[in-house]
Amino acid sequence: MTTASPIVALRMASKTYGRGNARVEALKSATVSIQPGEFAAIVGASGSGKSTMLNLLGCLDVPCSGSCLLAGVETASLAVDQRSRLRRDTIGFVFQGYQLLERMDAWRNVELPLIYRGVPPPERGRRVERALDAVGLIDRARHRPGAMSGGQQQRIAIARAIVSEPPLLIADEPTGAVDAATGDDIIDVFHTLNRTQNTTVVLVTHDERIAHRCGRMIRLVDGRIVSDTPTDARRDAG
Amino acid sequence: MRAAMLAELPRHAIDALRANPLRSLLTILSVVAGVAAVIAMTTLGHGVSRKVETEINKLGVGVLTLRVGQRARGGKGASIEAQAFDYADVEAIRSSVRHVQSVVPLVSRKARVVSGRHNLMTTLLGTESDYFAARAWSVAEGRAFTAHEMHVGAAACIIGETIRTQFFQGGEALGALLRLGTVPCTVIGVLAPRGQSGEEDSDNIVAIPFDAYQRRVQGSPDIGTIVVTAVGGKVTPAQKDALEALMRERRRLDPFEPSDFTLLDMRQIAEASAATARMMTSLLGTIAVLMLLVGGLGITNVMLVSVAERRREIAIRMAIGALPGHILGQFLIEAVALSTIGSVFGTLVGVGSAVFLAPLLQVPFVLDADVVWVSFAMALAIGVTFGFAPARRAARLDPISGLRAA
Repeated sequence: MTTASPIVALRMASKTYGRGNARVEALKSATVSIQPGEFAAIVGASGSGKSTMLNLLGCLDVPCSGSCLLAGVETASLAVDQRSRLRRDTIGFVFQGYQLLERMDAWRNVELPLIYRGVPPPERGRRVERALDAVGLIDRARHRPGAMSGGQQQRIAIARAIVSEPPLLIADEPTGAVDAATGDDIIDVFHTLNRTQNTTVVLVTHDERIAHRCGRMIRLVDGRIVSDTPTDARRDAG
Repeated sequence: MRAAMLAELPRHAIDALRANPLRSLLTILSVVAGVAAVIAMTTLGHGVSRKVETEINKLGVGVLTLRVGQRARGGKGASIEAQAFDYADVEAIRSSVRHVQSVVPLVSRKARVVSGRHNLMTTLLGTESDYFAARAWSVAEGRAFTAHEMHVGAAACIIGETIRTQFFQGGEALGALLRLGTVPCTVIGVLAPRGQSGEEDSDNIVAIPFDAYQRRVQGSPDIGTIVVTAVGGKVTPAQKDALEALMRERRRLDPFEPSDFTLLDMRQIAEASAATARMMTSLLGTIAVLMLLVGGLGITNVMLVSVAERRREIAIRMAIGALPGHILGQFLIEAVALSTIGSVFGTLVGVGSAVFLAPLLQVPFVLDADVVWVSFAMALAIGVTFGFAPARRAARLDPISGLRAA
């Protein structure tokens, strides 16, 4: 552990859904701290609280109790609009089902985050090109998502997440919908970004093999963090 | 929102609308109906106002028209034409009713006017020069009758525009000789054109001095109509009462006998018809606004459905950096795009229907250039007003639930 300030950290964070008998405690007093440049995997069975934790880390949601610090800011204290801005400025998201907009080709999908950030067109073009190049799909720029394989779509989604050059990448089951070989390719892309751009990556997976390829593995069981350990990948890299 | 963003939003709106063409088309049609109704009604409304205005101008302001009426006979409900006025009545009004500007006799009949090989049925008037002033009708060429001509019943005539074009084809009319029935007379003036009045051509007219008419055409002292104008252009109730009392006295009517003549206040009639026209216009306008409201609610409805269907898209956009304001803007622009397209076609349909309906309603077609701005303003107002609630719902969507819906 370094002493640098974490890019995102949970302290005694809990999240509860529902009321009365339907009350579900999805996350119980989780404390975790992600340093800049880390590559962490959150693993656990379905219903273990992985997605809840990811939503908190990704500032899509705020904890019911405890705290969540994103880039040093307490997310629960922010208004919706401020939270949107903080998220926009610090995080790139990759989702399980790619979540590309079908009506637009790859180029326009990747371009969208820059439009929302008010980047002017010439600069936009350069950055879209760089992002598509980074995921090796510059030749597919004018294809629509429907005309691409699952692996290609996920790489477009990654390009979209990194185009705004966020310090933190959050990925929810990025390999969940593709076969093992394609899954490895996707993890390779994350590794490259992590190593060359020093992008912090936090991903959720239920695939132990994938998790072992990340530098750090946080295991959740029934809403609690039961282990938080460096992996072989990290020891190798270190 | 920054300029780069603003330039991008319409493109996204068009993409979204094209994704569901039938639904977009139906919504646009409902706006077309509403805007068309408003445009048609305002355009026809302009025509009605124009018509009323022209009619009032033609009638002349502050004019009282006295006409011979019906007289009951023998108490069996049968009636006969009452006794005519004569020139003594005209002079009595001049001398005893206060503040009258002019009192002129008016007699008329259909007559054939002949010049060389041409002939035409026209309305022949016998009157005095003040008649034209009372009707706010100017002599465009030449002059009105002189006092001398009126006094001696000279064989001089003033013709309407139709007679001039029919007989003189734009050549010199003044000084020409016309034959009215058997009476020859010289053209001394041409009246300014007035156009149609209902079915009648106001310009198909020849006027000669009252005296000449009486002696050479009619051969009797009877007067059918007396036109009275008031000083200051407005007839007072006191003047009307005085006039009525005077005529009743001169015609020796019993106190309980109804008047056997009519007293028409042209201004009053014109104002009554103007009020009716205004009421009709505002009634139709209300219906048009209701149609517009229905069209607008169509937009709200479609946008709500669209927001519900596109929760995933909204959530993705939010997750990749869209602020609530961006989402609000996107959906508002979609709504405004629908209403703008609807407005453009609605304006065309509305103006088209006005062109078609104007002759049926016998009003002139008056196209106001403001129509364009009005319809653009309406488009914007409808889009923003009726698109706001759905757009706000979209902007408040929780991205997590939207992504889960995928």
